[in-house]
Amino acid sequence: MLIADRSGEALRELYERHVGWLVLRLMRRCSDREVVDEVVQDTFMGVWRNAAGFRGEGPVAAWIWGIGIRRLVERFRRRPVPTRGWDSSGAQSSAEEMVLLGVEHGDLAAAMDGLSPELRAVLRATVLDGLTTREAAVLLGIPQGTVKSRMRRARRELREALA
Amino acid sequence: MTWHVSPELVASYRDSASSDAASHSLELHLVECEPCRRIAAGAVESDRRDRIWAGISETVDMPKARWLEEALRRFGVNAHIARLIAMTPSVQPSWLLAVATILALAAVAASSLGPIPFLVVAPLVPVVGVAIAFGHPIDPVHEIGVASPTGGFRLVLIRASAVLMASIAISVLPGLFLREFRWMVVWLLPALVCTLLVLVISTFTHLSTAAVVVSLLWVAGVTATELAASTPVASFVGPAQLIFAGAVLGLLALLLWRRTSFERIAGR
Amino acid sequence: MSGNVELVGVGKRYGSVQALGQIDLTVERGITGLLGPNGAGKTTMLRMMATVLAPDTGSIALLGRDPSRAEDRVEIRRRLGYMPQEPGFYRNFTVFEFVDYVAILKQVTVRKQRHDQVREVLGMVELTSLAHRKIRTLSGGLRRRLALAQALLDHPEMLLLDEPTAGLDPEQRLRFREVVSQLPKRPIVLLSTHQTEDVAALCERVIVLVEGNIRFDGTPEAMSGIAQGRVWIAPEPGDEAMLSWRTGDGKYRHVGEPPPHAALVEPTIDDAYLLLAGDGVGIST
Repeated sequence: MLIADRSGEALRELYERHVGWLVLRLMRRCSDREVVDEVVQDTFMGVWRNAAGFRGEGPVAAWIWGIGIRRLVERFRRRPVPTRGWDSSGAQSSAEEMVLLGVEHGDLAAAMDGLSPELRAVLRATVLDGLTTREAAVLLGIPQGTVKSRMRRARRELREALA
Repeated sequence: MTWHVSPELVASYRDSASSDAASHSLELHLVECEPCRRIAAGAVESDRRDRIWAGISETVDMPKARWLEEALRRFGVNAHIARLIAMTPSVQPSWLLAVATILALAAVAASSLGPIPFLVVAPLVPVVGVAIAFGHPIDPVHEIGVASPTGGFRLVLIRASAVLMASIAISVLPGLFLREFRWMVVWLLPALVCTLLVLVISTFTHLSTAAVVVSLLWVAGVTATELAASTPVASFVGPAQLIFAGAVLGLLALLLWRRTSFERIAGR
Repeated sequence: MSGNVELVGVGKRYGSVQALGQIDLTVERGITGLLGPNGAGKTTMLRMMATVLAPDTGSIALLGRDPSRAEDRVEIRRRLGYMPQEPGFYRNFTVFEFVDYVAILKQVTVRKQRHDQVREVLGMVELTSLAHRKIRTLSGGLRRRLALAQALLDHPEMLLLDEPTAGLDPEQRLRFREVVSQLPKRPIVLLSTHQTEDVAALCERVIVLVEGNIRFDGTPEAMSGIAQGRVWIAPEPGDEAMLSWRTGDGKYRHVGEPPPHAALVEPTIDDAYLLLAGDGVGIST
């Protein structure tokens, strides 16, 4: 990858391509702008330092998200942030959106919509965001045990829904 | 039909107004779709993006870690002067490598031709280096440099010293090919003399002209002395060194006397 | 201590050519335009103000100091921003490295502060996104912006710009004008150019320099006023006028003596420039 040769310009290019979605996606999980801006900075510094460690498994954006969400989790762990949490107006998904979700991402993503918000949150953190149960616990501000039990319930409900 | 995000969806996502299904779709999709990421980028104000970048750039902007700069800092040279020196064009690896090669050849030839080729070439290295390092017209940044507080004489001294030290440093290794230890040091004073001479002459004419003049004078001088003298390598041994030492002092005084000419650029 | 630029009886000669002859001039805060054809002595004058050239006759005082004295010269240079006519660059440097280098030359020794300043001036000229591009990959217009950026370092009290808009397209020129008109702390800005539009749009005061002498010193409006009553529009070209050319709408504009059937028009600064510069200037672009 370009960055491995320590080219500041390559980092800048990568930054321009990815900062937008990263900011938006993190803002949905923490509405404190300053915290998010800091985390984004940390993320790209992490990208800069660990560029050599990316071996091309999967899309670059997924790798960047992995770094970013973990920085956010770290941040929550170090200092409580009152504005954490999935920010949502609670809008209902339209039927069309459900179909699209199913088409693009398979039944799991669509079925998730049928779950209660807490179960959805846990699945989002572990499945979509790729966190471990321990990290998910920090992100959601709940005990790890609760994460595990909610995941069990979610899986059960999904199995029933998909059956 | 492949699904892509629309600016409206991005806006509603940003405002947390989109449904969870739509939000999840968008998030998953953006991981894989560059054009849609560009749409998302538009939803974040450019001030904010620039501000965040400003925080990152301090780390990244650190211009290439030049080992020379680090080495100089460790020797107690002020950080910014170390940068100035490290950024001098003729203290760059490519030029140094070229010179080192030439010197190595001269040194290796010493076994059959005697040390003269090496001893003649070595003092001219800093002369050429100084010519490359600055001075109109070769230094493009000359005018801005002279108009700066550091500019003028101080800058000249800093860079000339840097070039001189670099030249000496790269001459050490090829010098090891020479038979006798004294050949490795007898050219040092002549190098200083030649460097000072080119600087002094540059106050009267273009630096490149000065470099040529000094080179010719030096080669002619050594040739004449060698031909006239009874002992071989007379231009470098014994009384010659005293003469060089005297020349260094004289030229230093001359340089100080002429120093204000470095404060201006030559007129058209 | 006055913060002006004062030239008294300043002259400079190169061989047999009198580049500047007996100039008396005081320049104060604000944007002053130095207008004149090539070879008029603009660069010579700017170089003298930039302390890189000494006059043959006369004396100069810059920001209350005397540039012929070494210590004063250093102090002046600390407060000076200079964009030479042909700025040179180390082509292998990146944009950031180059401005950083100049900042070091300006003796901004503390790295954090210096880097902040570099970022600030790059932001002012909108080169932030190209900060890590190597200079040799930049176009001429971008390099001009870079040259302007280095001149803006450390908020100079005196800003000297030699042909800053040469080779820039109209949009870039507009952006340049924005930057210069929005400088903090209202420094002394001296802008040398042969583009009358830059002067008309930007300068509070215009000095017209032709063959080493000042032919006009005043506001742009006063300068247009010189041509009052001497600019005409006619349907045909005429030989009596000092200068006449075809305008975009098919008529002919004449400066000087009118041909028959000519109507008087309001003069612009261009017309005045032509009158002042006489044969020394071609049709301005």
